Amino acid sequence: MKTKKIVYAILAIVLISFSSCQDYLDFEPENKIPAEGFFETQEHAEQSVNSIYAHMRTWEMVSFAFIIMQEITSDNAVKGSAVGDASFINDYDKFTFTPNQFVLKDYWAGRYRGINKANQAITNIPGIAMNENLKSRLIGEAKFLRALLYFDLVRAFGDVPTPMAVPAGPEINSRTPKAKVYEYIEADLLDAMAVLPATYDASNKGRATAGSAKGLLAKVYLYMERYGDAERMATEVITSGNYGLEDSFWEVFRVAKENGKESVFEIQAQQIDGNWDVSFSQHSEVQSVRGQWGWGFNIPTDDLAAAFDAANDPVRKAATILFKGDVTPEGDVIAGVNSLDGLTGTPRYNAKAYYPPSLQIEGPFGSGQNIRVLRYSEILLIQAEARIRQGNASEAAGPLNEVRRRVNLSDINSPTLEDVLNERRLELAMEGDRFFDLVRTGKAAGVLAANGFVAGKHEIFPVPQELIDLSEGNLTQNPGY
Amino acid sequence: MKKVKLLFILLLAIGIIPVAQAQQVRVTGQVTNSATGETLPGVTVVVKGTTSGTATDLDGKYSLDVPATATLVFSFVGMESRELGLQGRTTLNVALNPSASMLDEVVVVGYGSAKRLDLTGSITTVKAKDLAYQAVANPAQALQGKVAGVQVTNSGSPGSAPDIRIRGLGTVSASSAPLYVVDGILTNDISYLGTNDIENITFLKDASSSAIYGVRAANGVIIVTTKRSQSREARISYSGYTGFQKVVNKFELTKGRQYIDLINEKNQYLAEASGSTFVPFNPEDFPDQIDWYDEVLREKAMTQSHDVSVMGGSARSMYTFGASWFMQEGLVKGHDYDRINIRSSLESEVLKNLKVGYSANLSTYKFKDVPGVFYNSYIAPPVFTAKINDTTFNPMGDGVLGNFANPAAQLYYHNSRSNGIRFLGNAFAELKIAKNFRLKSSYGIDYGSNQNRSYIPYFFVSETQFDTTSRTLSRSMAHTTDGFWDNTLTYDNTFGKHKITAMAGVSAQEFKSLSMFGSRNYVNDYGDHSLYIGLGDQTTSNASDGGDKITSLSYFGRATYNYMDKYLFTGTLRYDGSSVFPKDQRWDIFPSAGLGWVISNEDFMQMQNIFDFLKFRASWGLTGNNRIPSNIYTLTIAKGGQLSTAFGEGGNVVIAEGANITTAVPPLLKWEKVREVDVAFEGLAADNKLSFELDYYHRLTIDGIFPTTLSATAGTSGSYLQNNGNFLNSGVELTLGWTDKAGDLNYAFSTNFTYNKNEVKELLEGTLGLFGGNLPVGGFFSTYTIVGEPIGSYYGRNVLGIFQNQEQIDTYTWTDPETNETVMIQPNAKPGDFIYEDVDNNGLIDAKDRVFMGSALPTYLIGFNATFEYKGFDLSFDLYAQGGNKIYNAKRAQRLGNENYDLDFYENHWHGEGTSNNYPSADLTGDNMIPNNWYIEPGAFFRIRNIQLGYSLPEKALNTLGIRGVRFYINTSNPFTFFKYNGFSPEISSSSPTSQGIDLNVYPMSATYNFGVNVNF
Repeated sequence: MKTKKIVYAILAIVLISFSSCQDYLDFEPENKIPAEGFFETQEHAEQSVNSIYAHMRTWEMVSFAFIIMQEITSDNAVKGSAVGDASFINDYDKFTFTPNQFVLKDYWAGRYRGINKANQAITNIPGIAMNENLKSRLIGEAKFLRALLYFDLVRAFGDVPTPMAVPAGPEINSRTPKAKVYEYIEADLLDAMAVLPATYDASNKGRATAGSAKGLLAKVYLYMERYGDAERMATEVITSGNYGLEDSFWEVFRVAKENGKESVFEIQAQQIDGNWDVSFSQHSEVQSVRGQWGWGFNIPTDDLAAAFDAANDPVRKAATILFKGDVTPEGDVIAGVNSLDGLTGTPRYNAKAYYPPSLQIEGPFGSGQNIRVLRYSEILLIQAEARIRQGNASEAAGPLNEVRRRVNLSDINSPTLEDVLNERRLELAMEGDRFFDLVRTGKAAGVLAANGFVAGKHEIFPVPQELIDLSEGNLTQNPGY
Repeated sequence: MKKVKLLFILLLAIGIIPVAQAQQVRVTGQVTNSATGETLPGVTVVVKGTTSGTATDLDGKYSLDVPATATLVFSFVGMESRELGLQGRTTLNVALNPSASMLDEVVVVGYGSAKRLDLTGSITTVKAKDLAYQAVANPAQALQGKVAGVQVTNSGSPGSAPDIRIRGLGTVSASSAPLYVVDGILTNDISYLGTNDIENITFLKDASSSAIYGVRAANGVIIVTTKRSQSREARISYSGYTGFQKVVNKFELTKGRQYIDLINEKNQYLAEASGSTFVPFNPEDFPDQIDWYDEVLREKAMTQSHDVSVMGGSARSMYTFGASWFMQEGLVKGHDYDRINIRSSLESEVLKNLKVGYSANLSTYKFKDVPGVFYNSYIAPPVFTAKINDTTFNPMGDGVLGNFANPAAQLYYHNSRSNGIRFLGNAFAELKIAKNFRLKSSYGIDYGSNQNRSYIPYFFVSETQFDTTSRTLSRSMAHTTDGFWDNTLTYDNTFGKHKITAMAGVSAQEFKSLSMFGSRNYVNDYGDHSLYIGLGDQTTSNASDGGDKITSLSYFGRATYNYMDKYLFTGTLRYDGSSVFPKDQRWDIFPSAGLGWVISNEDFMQMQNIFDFLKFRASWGLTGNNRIPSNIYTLTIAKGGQLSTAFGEGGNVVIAEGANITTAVPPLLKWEKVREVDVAFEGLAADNKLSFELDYYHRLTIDGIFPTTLSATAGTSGSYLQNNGNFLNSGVELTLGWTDKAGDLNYAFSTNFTYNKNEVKELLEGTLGLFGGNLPVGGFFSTYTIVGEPIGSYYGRNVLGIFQNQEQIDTYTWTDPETNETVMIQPNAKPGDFIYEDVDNNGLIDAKDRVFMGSALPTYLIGFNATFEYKGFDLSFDLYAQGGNKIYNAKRAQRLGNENYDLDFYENHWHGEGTSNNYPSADLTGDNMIPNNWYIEPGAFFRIRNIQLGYSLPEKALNTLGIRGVRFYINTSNPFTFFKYNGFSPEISSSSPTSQGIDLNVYPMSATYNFGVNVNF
């Protein structure tokens, strides 16, 4: 009898325990927020847009792929760094890259990852009940950033897939014609400039403004060869009264002047003590003095140095090229290694990526350096170029000379297109504009012929092979690759 | 059948007829184990030829009324049966010999045990003596070559768990590791156990055996039984060893001038190709030479182990206690591992029908970590000294050859310590209900806790290797709890010729983990006592945590049936639910069935004398694999970290937290299952001297979980997991054994052979093959998993030779059949580069010119073991070989700059016309880096796994001292390995099934030598 009781007791416990097991297997994932509950509050809307900004400073966006495809390909820069280090970069200097080369995929994937984040925000924020002003501003910011990302893609690859909403569908495996991609970019920027504020309060400085959108659109119009629109947009930025040139060209690229009056848009990078993640960006590190602070890639060529000398422009030369032995205004002596790959002369580095080591507190070296995307001086040069392109050389002199006067250069009273383009090179050298500018202005084949540039082929890069494989051939390769 | 009956009757007649008229006497006695002298409870004592009998009590005693002329039969599982005539005696004490026959051996099966004879599945047991005395940190490491069908891949790193695969690789994305069951507790890792704690290890290889563990059994099950008291008499034993590890088969790299020559050659080619300028490094600027491995490795790494155990019992209880200490120095200087283990178990019959018990194993360990200096030692330029004076590390040219860390400094400044606790235990109650029913409830727990403290000191080695700012102290803690509650009801009965067992049960499991991490900067080091986060700068505080939860619930049952020891059947059924699958796909059924036919018990076999035992068995079963990450079907958001940014300037910098949906999830996710058929013969012949077992198996993974690569254009994760593959492993396993004696020499040989073929059978329509084996430098895929090939097959270009001169490049052309236009196939090549085959014959070398180049999965494994015993001496050795696999020598191509080269490459590389048509020039970048079959090398190896020589002191001499036995031995593990592969070791532990055999490992192999002693009191 005793045994039986025990049996019954045990059976009862077992049965009771397992009958309550209905929910035993059913629970929300630990330590994760299901996407289902996301995009419901104003905070979510803000977070999603913040994540696009954060994405802009990642390795794929501003480090190797950026310097390799946008500057080393041009006549301004060569690989640099130690002889033999990352020698694949020379393939871009000499136009011997193939569709399998991984930098291409980095460039591609990085920009589409940003586009996906923007598409999430643009698709989902409209449904959130929140402050309507903030809502339209956030959507505007996302559209600005998406336009910036597509602008990179269309310049680098020509026709590209254009997912514009989530979830992405079959459109990711077909290429939208270049002209249509530019229309999407224009539409995004027009939407953005309509809703974005002209300025932000101190703690929101660095977000895209109406001026950012207009400035970028002015540049986009140059690429679309709509010079009247380009001039109009540039003029809107200039007459807004929100921008101006810094007095010192050197200071433009220093932390103190970040998001200053010359800044139309820059990618935010901060060093926050103890917060490695937020302090993580390698834009400056990969370009900093080799053997001293960084890796020493993307070094200015003799040709660029000569261009400054020819223009009698020591101010911008000193703020663009740091030679070994130079002492910076901050007091740092440029030392580093004795020889750099691809260079016979004095070792030198990109001064615009220089970050005084005294500021280094967290993250990779120089990770507090914002990445200048669009400066007021470029807006002036866009206005000048657009005017010349429309046959209005005399009115081009004003904005052009404003840029020149800042660096103590004499006025050019009736500038030619050549004058403006040369000014662009000197003003924007090492900022990631040169290769695309050479292609845009039709000069690439001539200037880069000695490097192996083939007209009709190298104006755009090949589509990464993996994407073609995954699309089962629906994505086509660019001609010549 | 008639003949059998006749035989039976005849046997009965022989026994019964003389007894018929005999008078009854009472016989009493005690039964002991002849090997140990312990008394044996539960021994069946029957009068021969009758069914009348009894069983011995807890003290091994019995009492029985029998005819005076009777013959008694004593039988007990695991012991040889013995028949003794009374011959007028009324006291009959009997010593039974442990059974030499494997048939009587009791084998653990899931939630129970069975006699080997009754098995219908493929189950192999490795006994303690075959494992013990090897100086391994993890007992699983000692299993290599022991069991047919089981591949054990040991990585060189101390304490690390080996990769174990039972019957091939059947999964791509879920875990491929088998399930361990230690004394009924399910776990993934047995590194906490000492080899000396283990009684035996049983492998449930086929689905019919393992299906009872359905939910986690797809990769096979390894059941570990720890030592339990066999007698009531207290026994104390000590075992210990001490020894050392030493690097063997070290792979040589270039040094000094050799290296400078190679990089000058490389940079010359590169400069010529790109038209850039190049000033060669002057060898005179680099007068030093070094082997960095010598700077980071110990010449001898000591290891020792001491273990004391006490076992015994009283009238109703049996107990075990033990404690052990194990320490192992790693091959790397400063790497130390230390473990203390305490274990205890108790079983007691508290009531007549109620048995309760527990077992508990607590281990604590601590180790000093080392940083990943191997890779840096491999690549670092061998042209510097480690230090420039007693106190200053060499800055390695401050970047002139590239950013190379000084490995010796890296090791010196690394300050990271870990420690932890692991507890495995269970408690159970078993109740006999009625005569044949047993109800058992058991709760088991596997708890682990780890903590780590890392400190980055203030140091400056060179401009590229320093930290002069942060002085970060970080601390992490993690604990996991895996709890199981199992309830089973077992029924056992024998009706005449029918023997039946049945079991039904229910099991619930809950796994939980929690981890925490915190750090602060500016912690000053005044010694270990000052390394606390709270002593750092509070504005730099950082904290995070993580956690997980997985639950599963299972209902299961098993029935076995044995008819006259001839016809055997086992059936199991399991119904499993697991939280890792979506709600509508959560539950599934896993059945299995096995049949056995003991042919040698058939009457037609009685005439032959070849086979002493012969059994045919066949089984079919379905098992599941839920060991995939939890909740991958739920789309979640990514938040914080690098998704956050900061806005504002100067005093107004504000962190703006970011979050977004950055991934994608599969539309459907269900159980990955394995359906296995196993057919086998096993038997004994030549007077039980020869044993053999031959299995054929066919294991098909159904709905294999497989990553689907997503287009980067979607901007989400690179891939997600989905059920879209069927993978087949089919093979043959043969085990042969021979046990014999010649005079005083006892000897035994055993060998096992495995052949396995792996193939992807099917992929869901629309699923692309899976590119894998992503190489860190260049990001190239080196494997491709597609229908018709093994999982993770190497895929790359076909090398035809080396371009000797420009003319050869110019004339390597293709002519368009339509336009008659001739083009150079490799226009960008330079002399010394690989000549690639234009496989698709279109004048262009591209991704379509790739061919399959073999796989990392071995097709055969061979193990051999021999033991000899002569008087007090014993000698054993183990050999192991595997082959049919290929290794991708990836470390040769992981070159971003001026990394070091290996000596074999230096001696064979192309350095001018006619110097080599097999090895390329020193420039392994660009197209030469793209995966191709030059990097593929045969992975076969032959190893002397273990050699052991022991001597046991004569018992007589010891008995006077109260000692039962003393054995000394010397042992060496892995002293010799023979292979052709150009690397440190042909054993490549794999990170994932699609990157197997890709050798980025630069950890040298080591041999262990130890001396040990075992004493039993």
